[in-house]
Amino acid sequence: MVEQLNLIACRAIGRLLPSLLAMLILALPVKAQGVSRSFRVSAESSQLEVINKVGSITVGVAEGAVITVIARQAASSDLNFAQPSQDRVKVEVTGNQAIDLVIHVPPRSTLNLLCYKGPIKVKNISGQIQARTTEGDIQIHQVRSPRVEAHSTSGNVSFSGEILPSGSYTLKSFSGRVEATLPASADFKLYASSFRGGMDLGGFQMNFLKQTDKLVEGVLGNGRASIYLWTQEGSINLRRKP
Amino acid sequence: MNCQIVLDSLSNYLDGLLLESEVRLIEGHLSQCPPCNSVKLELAEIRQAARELPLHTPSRALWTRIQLSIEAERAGKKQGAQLTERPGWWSQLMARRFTFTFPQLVGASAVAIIFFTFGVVGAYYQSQNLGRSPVPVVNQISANIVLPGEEKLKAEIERRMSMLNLRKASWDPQMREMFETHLAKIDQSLEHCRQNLLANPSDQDSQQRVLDLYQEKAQLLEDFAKLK
Repeated sequence: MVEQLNLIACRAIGRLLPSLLAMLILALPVKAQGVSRSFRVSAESSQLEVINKVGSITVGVAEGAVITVIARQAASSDLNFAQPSQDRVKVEVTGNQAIDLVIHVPPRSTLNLLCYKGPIKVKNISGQIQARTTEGDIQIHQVRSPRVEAHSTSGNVSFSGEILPSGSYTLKSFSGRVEATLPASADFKLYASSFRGGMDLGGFQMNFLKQTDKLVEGVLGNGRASIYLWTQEGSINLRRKP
Repeated sequence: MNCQIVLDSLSNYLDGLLLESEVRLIEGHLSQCPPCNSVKLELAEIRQAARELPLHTPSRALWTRIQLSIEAERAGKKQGAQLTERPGWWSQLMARRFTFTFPQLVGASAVAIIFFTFGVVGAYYQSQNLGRSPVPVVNQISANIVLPGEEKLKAEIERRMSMLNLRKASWDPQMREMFETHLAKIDQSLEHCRQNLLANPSDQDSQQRVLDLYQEKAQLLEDFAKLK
């Protein structure tokens, strides 16, 4: 009787085991490979909107008129992709797990990036940039953008790049540091305000319209571009590009 | 008829208020009683003298005081009788008859004229000042300072907050905690900057700082409104 039961159990295990192994094998590569998607867009007027909950967003330049999104350690069910028109792409993380997004776009793309808990990095872009995170740093570097809005609630915000005539550059953080590295020849009107952290204006020879320990308004050159730096608790550092 | 009854009726007798039969009885007694007749003669003389005195009309103030004292006495009696049935304040007010003396009316009129004059002059100067200066930066009502655009911002924040409060329960706990933490920090800073502003209401930097913090709060709410 006992031998018969053992035999039945062994046969059951023998039949189920391959199925279990197959399921395990199928499941593992999905998480390991992550998700990758590409979208054909216009090189001149593409727009990308990204919403990530936990994890980073990194945006760089793609080769050609294509937007590529890579989400490592993610399953396809963790992300929603949409392309409502030829030039517009929307990526949204639906789950609550940490997912790092690496995205490449045509250099002139317009970016609208939102992250709740994670950093945002943008490099070499010349389109309009809007980046917002609640917890995390924002780094926007080597850009040539006419309009930049970077706003972190509790992280640091740093910017480096060209200041275009008539450009608008807003860098804000509630409790983090705000840094901007600008060409020495930049032509801009500056409004900088830090309630607690103090300010270092990097030796720019501005014509100051207002200067207190918490607030500075000044003009460099003809004041064609507009730079707005704001932090409640952090410091403000303006640096000249060497 | 005895003397006491005759003396008590003398005043009415002299006023002609008695019946003929009563008059006959009194006159019969007076003819036989010299003391009572003597009192009657004195009383008649006093009445005659009083008639010859110049007529004095009592002042209105005296009438008012008398009237009020009568009403107070009546009210006291009523209150004693109707302790369980107190009328409401409105019916008491409506039932009350207000009577003023001439000096009181003059005084009240003078006070009303003074208030009216100050009101007109004040309104005139206020309108003149508003016309000269740009939009007032601060509208200070007692200790509360309302900045331009602040009410609108606050209303928008409240609207977003009520929306988020409905949805917050469905958020991931980590997200909820993060939201609450940052919201509390911004509110704390807002309160701090508002205190600074109260200490120096005309400081435009402090005003701007408070508005910036409202914007910061509104931005946080806007972001989390997109959270699914």
